[in-house]
Amino acid sequence: MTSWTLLPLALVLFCSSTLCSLGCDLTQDLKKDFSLLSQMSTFSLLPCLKDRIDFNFSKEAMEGSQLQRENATVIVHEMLQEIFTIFSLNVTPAAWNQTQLIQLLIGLDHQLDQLEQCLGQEVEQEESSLESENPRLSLKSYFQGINQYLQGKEYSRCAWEIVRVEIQRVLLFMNRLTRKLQA
Amino acid sequence: MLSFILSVVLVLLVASGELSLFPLAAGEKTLKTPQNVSVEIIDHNFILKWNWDKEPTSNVTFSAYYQKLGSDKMNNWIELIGCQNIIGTKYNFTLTNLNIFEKIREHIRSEKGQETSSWNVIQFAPFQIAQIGPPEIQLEAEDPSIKINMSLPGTANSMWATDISNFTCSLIILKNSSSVEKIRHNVFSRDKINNLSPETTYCLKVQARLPILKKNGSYNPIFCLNITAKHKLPRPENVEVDPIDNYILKWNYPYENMKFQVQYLLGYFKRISTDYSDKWKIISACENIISRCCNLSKVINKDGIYYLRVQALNGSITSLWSAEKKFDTRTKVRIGPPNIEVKSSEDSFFVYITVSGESEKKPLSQDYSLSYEIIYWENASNIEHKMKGKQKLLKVSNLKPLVLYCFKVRALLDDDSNKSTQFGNVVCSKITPGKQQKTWIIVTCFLIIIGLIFISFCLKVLLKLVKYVFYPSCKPPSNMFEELFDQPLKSLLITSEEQTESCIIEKANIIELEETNQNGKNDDICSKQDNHDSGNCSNEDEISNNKITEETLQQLTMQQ
Repeated sequence: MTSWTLLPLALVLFCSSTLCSLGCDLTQDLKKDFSLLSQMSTFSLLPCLKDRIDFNFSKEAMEGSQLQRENATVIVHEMLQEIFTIFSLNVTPAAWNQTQLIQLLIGLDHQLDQLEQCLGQEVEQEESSLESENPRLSLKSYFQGINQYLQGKEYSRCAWEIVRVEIQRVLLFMNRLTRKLQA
Repeated sequence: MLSFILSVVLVLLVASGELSLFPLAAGEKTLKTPQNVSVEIIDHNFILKWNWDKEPTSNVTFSAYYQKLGSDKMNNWIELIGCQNIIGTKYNFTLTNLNIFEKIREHIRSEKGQETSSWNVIQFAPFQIAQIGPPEIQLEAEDPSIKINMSLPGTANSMWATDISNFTCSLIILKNSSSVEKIRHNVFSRDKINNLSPETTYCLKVQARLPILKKNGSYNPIFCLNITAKHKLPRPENVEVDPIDNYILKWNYPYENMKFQVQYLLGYFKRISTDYSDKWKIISACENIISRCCNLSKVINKDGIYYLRVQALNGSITSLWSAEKKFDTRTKVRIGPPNIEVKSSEDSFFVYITVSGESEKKPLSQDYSLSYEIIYWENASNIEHKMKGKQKLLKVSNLKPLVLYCFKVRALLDDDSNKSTQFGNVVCSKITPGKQQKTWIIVTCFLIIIGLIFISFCLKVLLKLVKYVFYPSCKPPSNMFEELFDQPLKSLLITSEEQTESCIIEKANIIELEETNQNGKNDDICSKQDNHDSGNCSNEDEISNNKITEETLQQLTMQQ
């Protein structure tokens, strides 16, 4: 839990430069994603409390890096892409509201496309600095942990509920981050 | 004493190995350390490289270990190269059960018998230094185009599992094995190359790229392909979505008397790496149509990215599918004809324009730059005047008063396309000087008066309420007390509710029963308080009453 409480501060420090020019503001879209995720499932979480684990989000990787505008866009893109990959697997629970799941996938794809256009507009750099790679690596490691957890639990209903709640927390932080950068 | 100390020191030094009386004893690091140690990773293959001066009589082996640097793992050095004779200065290996996003450390040293060199250590995160190998591609000739299906080596645990959807191709196309004809970038892993000439051989080299990580892979060996005769029916061309007035898809076709069908694909299927060819859906309103346009508004109802394609039909013969048109709802907002509202003031008109776009949460002008063209004319004549601008609120002055003018407006796209919407509604109005002000004054005065009356009424009610709450007048009705105090001696015993008259007067007890005669007729007859007479009841009821009185007297005595 402590890593989560320090994360918003770390991310704000990390991305203190403005996140993107106009057209890259995803605050409204992240809210839509969040609400779709919470409505998709009507299962109770109580029987799944025993399956909770700490997914080890690493804040050290975020804190130490140099802050550039491109890094922040890249991080948001990476997060959205990993979330898309998880929910596009054909093993999501059949009892979830499929219409809303498809709507979520359409929305995520749309947001990713927008961010890719944002990144394409940035000046092409020949070498990516080592500093910008660390947060991406830690994010990939974190989501790999989530994927391995799902595989280990054989995509059980409880495992999916835990992951769904975890992803909602990620979206919440991203939303707070993008709002702070827009302000 | 001194020699004793010296010898002790010597022994200690020898024991610790610092000073050796025998050169080349065990543990001495006289061997050269391997130099320029590096690791090269191509997809999931690791190659450890180093430099070593070659000695012809060497019997040198190398040993290498690696260590995972994750925070919660035990940091053991795991053996990579054991006591092996390695020819050359390279070593291929693959690591399983490894988190490729976390840093690992490797060290290597040379060994010869009991001699070892010191360690040379390097540290890296595998994913960061990995390079993309040549992709596997499948090509399919589709006259006159080529379908590419690029797949990357590796299973689900490959280096690029998390970035599969980010890959693009870069192609070098050679026509008839001659000089370079085309270099195409940003081709998707499943894509088509169109506009090729038939009856020619094309050779391709493909390179996989990850632009988002700024990694370019290596090219695969050249692959050649023959394009056969042209297909009988050409594919529809110039597939475009018209943003004005509606989501309308339009296309061109060289032949007449053809029918068409349109299909759409939800964009996210392209991001999933599986085959999406079965995910195309038919737009039922545009199936077997003759017109070269299709209304997409029923199908495109959510914000997102869609792909569209058109096919021509002639009986049972179908053409190839057209090039896929990517449609992003955010960039193509439906623009309808604008509405106009006109308010006339004393000397001018105020014109207010509203555009009915699809996304009302954002102003249209943020995505689209529109300008508006207002046309107005005197109703009598037909002379039209034009006004152009970007403002939505305009003032039109210098017009004749008391003349009816009519207005209409249309929106124009600011780009070079010269596209415009239809004209919206027509509104007519005229300038009426002076009167308007007067009427306003009268109306406002009237309203003020009404307001004042209402307020005073409310105050009155309020005062009443306050008075009632804080200064209540709590007098009970005066009748109550009179009745209680004036009749103390009258007993209130009532035997029955039936109308029985009983006037019993006893000498001993002054107990009187008052009758409860509803009629009230015999009131006078029965109310004899201190009368010792034998009950002078009415003569009419004398007979019956006598009997009654005797009975009731008995009952009463019994009760008592």
